[in-house]
Amino acid sequence: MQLAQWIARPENPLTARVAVNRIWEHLFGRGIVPTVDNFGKMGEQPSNRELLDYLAVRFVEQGWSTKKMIREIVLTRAYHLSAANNAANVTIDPDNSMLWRMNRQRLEVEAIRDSLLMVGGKLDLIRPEASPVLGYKRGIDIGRAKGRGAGMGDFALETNKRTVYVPIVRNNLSPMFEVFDFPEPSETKGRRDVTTVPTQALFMMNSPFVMAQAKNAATRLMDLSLDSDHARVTRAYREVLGRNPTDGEVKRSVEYLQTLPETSGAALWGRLYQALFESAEFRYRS
Amino acid sequence: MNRRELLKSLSCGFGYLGLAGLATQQASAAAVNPLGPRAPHFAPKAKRVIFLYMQGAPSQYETFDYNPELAAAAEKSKVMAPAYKFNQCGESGLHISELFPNLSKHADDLCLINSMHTDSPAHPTATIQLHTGSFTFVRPSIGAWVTYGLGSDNQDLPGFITINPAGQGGTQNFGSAFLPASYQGTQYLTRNGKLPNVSNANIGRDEQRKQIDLVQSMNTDFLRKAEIDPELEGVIQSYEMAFRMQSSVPGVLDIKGESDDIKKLYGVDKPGGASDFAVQCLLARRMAEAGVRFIEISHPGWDHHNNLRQRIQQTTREIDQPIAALMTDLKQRGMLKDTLVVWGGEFGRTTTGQDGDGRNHNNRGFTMWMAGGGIKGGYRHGETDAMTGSAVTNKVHLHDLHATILNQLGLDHTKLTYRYGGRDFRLTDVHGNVVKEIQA
Repeated sequence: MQLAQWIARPENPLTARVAVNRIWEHLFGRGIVPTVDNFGKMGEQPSNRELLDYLAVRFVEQGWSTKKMIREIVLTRAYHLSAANNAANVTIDPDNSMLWRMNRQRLEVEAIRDSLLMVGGKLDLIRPEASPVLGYKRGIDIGRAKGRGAGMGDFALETNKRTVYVPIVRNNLSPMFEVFDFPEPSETKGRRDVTTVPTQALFMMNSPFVMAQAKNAATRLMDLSLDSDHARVTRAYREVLGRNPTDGEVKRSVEYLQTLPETSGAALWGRLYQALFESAEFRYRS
Repeated sequence: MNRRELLKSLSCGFGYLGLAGLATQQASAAAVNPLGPRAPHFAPKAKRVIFLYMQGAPSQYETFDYNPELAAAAEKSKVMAPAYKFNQCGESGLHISELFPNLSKHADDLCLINSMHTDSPAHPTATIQLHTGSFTFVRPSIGAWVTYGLGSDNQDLPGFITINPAGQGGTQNFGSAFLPASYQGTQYLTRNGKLPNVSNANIGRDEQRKQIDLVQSMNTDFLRKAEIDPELEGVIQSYEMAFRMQSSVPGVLDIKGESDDIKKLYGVDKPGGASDFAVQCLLARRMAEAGVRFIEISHPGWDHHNNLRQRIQQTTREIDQPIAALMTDLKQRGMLKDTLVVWGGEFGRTTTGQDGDGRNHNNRGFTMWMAGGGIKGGYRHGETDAMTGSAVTNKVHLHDLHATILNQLGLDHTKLTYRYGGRDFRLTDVHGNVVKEIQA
């Protein structure tokens, strides 16, 4: 207890600095101290020492509230910048350590899954009453012959709740989580890996989950009875990518749909939704 | 026109041109393809590993640890005499149990390490240590380390595959822990017959190609807007690789096309269905041939506390022909010389008997063997004491074995490190010595 109090006492600057730096890293894709797990001699220097200290002090003043800290940061001008390039700035600060633009960030698996369910119209925003692990009568089967979590289902597929409510069971991580770099649950990790591997492409191309959400989204689109393909493509782009398509993109999408064996309905438009899910633009925050 | 504008104006400006311009940004290259082949630290003897994991801890005294003193000691103490006879085999005269009539023909290629020892006598911890070097913390599997060190030779297949993984510890045995997730082992279960997400029941190949073409045109536009971004180029490449994987993976997993001779050799043509382990051995060869870096296959059921005489006869029968076939097959394809075959369990068994026909756990002395990949064949290294069953001469700790496996692959176990949580980690932690005596 004394150790805990010593670590968390307001006069200890390190704890608050480490905490706000991690929050910053999650939001900007890069910490003020880039080596988030490693403060001190072996780590890198902060890009902006005053900012780090300011945030650390604010954090303590606001009762160590992560939520308040996130709110404060996301309301800044820096957070609202786009990831667009600027040739003049690149030459001065190629690493963007002074945040002249937003870092382009791959979505984390939580955001990917939530977005897919959202577009499919299936995302359940209501907090679950209890962990679905309780549904397993024997609880978590620790240390038995087949390893922990053996015999449990894939919770990411069994529920449409927000991903933050999907239980993390050691040794029974959902394959979807593994594909998109969710950290090993037994390890601490301040900064997640971001890998780009074919298993991610295969997941988007072939997993029944992605196919189902594409179909769900297309079914909703059909229910709207829009009067033109132009309107349908526009709607799909707005839902998946949050922007209107260019004329060229509408043309290309319609031409693609015309080459398919399906001629109409949710089966046809599901293909376009899936293509949008597969796009790099969907997977990245720009 | 400067370089940036030039790239922007080219519709195919992504790819290697963009990369070359960023050659100084090392991290970016890794972002594009973490599985690209990488040079070892020094000239390797082996290019790949096939690990034959014997789950449950085989008794060395009925298999590969010839110990005539044990029979003599059994006359006047509580130790149990070996239940089966050993024969001298090959030109080397290596002693191998009569339970391996087929594998013993390869005696001159086998290097028996009779003096293995490890830190835990319990299955779950010892299994995890065998695979990761540590049973106290979650650490990357040896297969993940190897794939991290060398990348993959075949971009159409995973670099690290584990077939029908057995044993306690679950996914930790083939996990990547703090290494990036792309180095973790891919599970292949023979009962499923396919890797996850490599086929699509609803969309035909041509139709999917059209979809990917649309996606790639969107991605190219997106990349052009972003100017240069190796990660986005990686996404574009990943779709092409994924599309190729869909055609190559089922081919590698399909053993139907093998000749009748090969099927007979492995024993996958047996009436009533092929034994699971025979199929695993044949798949291991196919994957090795296709460029998979680290392949693990498993045979469960070696925990012979009782009825050892009868049960070990059955268990060895299930592995003898398939492993012998794998050796023959690798050799006839000229692959044994650069494939390191490793056989063994998480520990061994005691000299003393249990109920007169069983042996208990023994982590202080057990046997593993290696073959190919620059390892001395027809050779026996170290021995166990006939009374205590502990390794006594030329002891080889599990860390030493790990160091030696990396060494055969051209990797220095003290240099293959990954920075995590503020320090550099190794497969062998602060331990391990390469076993020089068993080098060919």
